[in-house]
Amino acid sequence: MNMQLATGNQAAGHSMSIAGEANRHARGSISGIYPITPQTEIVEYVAKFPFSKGRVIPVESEHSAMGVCIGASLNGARAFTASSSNGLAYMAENVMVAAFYRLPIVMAAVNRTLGPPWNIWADQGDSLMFRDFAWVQLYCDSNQDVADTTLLAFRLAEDPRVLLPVMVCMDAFIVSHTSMEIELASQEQADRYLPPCEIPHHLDPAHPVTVGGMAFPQETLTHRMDLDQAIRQVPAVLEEHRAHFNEVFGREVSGAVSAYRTEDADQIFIASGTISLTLKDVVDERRQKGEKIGMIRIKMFRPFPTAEIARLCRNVEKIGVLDRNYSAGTGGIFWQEIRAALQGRGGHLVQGYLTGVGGGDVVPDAVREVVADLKQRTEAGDPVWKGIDQ
Amino acid sequence: MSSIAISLLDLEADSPVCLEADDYQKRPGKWCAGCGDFGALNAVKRLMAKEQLQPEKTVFVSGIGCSSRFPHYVNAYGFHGIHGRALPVATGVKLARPELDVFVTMGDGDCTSIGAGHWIHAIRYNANMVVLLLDNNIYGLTKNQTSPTTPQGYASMTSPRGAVLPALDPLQATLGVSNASFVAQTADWVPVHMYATMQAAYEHPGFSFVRILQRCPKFTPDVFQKNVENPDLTELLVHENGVDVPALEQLFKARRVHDPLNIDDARSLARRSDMLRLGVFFRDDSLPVYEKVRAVPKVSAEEKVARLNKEFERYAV
Ligand SMILES: Cc1ncc(C[n+]2csc(CCOP(=O)(O)OP(=O)(O)O)c2C)c(N)n1
Ligand code: SF4
Ligand SMILES: [Mg+2]
Repeated sequence: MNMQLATGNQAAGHSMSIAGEANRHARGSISGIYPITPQTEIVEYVAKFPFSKGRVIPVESEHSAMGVCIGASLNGARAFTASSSNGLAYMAENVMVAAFYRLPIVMAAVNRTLGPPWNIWADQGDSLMFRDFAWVQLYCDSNQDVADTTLLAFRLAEDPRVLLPVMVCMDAFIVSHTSMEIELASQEQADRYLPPCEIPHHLDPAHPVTVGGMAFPQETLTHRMDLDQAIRQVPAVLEEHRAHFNEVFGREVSGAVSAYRTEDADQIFIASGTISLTLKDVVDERRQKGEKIGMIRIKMFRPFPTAEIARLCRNVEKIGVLDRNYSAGTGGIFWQEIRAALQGRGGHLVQGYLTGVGGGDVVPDAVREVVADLKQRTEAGDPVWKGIDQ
Repeated sequence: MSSIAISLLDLEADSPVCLEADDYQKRPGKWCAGCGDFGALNAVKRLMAKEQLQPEKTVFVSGIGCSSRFPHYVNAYGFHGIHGRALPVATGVKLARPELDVFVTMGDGDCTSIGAGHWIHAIRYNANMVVLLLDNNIYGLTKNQTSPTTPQGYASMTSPRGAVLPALDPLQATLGVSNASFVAQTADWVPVHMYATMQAAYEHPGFSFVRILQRCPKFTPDVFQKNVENPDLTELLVHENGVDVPALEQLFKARRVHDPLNIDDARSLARRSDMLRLGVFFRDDSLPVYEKVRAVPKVSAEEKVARLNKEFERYAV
């Protein structure tokens, strides 16, 4: 076991680097890198790593960082990068291109509030702006989860049934900059877990093609349906690769959805990222007081685990959703998805709570208030803003 | 007056109050001790006092970076924008209100890296503004990553084995763009020269590009050190249409008379690396200025009525 203190950034940087190195028996790896707080340490880690077959290119912007990854991936290299906040916003055009070309690029997204006003703290609004970009999105809750999910992400992205880019998301500072004692994978383990990256449509001089032609509506429709089919494979393929992860590393990596004390619960709270860890403690505390509450952590936002959420919530009356993100005029983005997922499945009361939007700490007391609020509710209302100075 | 904080609203347009340099300081600058940005701010404040710029008619636009914190510290309108995008915003300000004095502050990353596309086009638009490139050869705010102007071989967090390529030269790049109208270089450790260069830049009717060699004691303490210590390694370009500070004659022995109208000499001087050169490399006040070219002539009320009537007559039955 290789236990050591590592921040979330170091965990992501390490796993990306050994994944890149693992492809030395194939076409090597490429990373286009550009700094932005709070992910900078990830790309700095990658920049230092002595790849035996691969290059790290400190490019002039995020747009180019993803551009380099696209070009490299089209040529069969394992490609990866990282960004945050406005860096992701500037990268957006190429983020979409990566998925629409079916390129298995892995990107760490350290969730930071979009500016202006300038704010470096945690908020998922940056990566969630890509919710319709056909990327798989996995939201981690801890440093170990980041280390493991990053490796899982390569396996999932490069699976021939999927061939889609994967975003590994983590909360700014709470995960990215906080050290925890975790187990980091060795190169030998990464070599065993990750087969050489084989992109079936990589450019081949023997069969020259031009990528990115003009398409008519009918062809575009087919393209979108292909994307849809591919992303729908993800839940099952993810499970296979989780099982394999367990074999190689001897530990479990969390799945798309984790339920906790939901079996007999009459109220369920749903969160993602680090808020789910605080929520878990509050659930235990309320259980001791005899309240039958449970919680669900959603890790995979895309594709959204609709069926699993519906199954877990089938017997509960009331659901509270805690979102560290906000869609103007509507509410939390996970809350919207959950309402849609439960539509027509028994009339649950689904209340949204905006917790930690703009990076405020979501402390146990704030979660206790959410729990108390849902308890007394007889009907759902507008999303409740938490953490506003009165 | 200088001890009294001035708000924009206190000042009438034709205020007889004489503003001093410190009146233009909104709040204390927050940079590391010894940072060259302090010197640049001082030079700007002196220029503003000299020109008696009205805070409510002056706008500072920046991107993101240590250097882009500038607008927070100047008593004028400020726009702290997004990384690399100061110039289009400044162009918009100037087109909407050509009478305002517009200043832009950018870092080497902001201007020559992520914002390089805008840089080229803003030079060509040649809108009348003072553009200060605070070049510390590094990404300072994000803590020590290679920028396009980082010297070849210089190690940073993103190029731990040293920058691979020769540095990009902002002067040569600017001088290569069509319609470039003012290109100068100065250094934060020669405050008199920096001030005189800003003065010339302010007087030039067009896009005045000033590259300020800016010390960053935190991350690039050594890149300019030789020049700071030994003035013999620097040559001043002097000319009556450029910058000529007699007080500097003592310190800088190497002086070259260079006519800023001569673009070929400007380009070849910018290309040479034998010495560091400070001064105005190029200046042509006759080139087209975007807001002038695109100005819509003012039409009097009578003229408008006359035009309307003429139009109505076409439909008279
Ligand atoms: C779109 C985007 N990408 C990255 C960043 C992160 N970032 C902030 S400042 C900066 C570089 C600053 O360097 P420079 O422009 O040279 O200014 P300095 O701090 O050296 O004055 C970077 C990369 C950002 N704010 N926005
Ligand atoms: S890091 Fe460098 S550029 Fe930034 S404030 Fe400090 S000295 Fe100045
Ligand atoms: Mg800089």
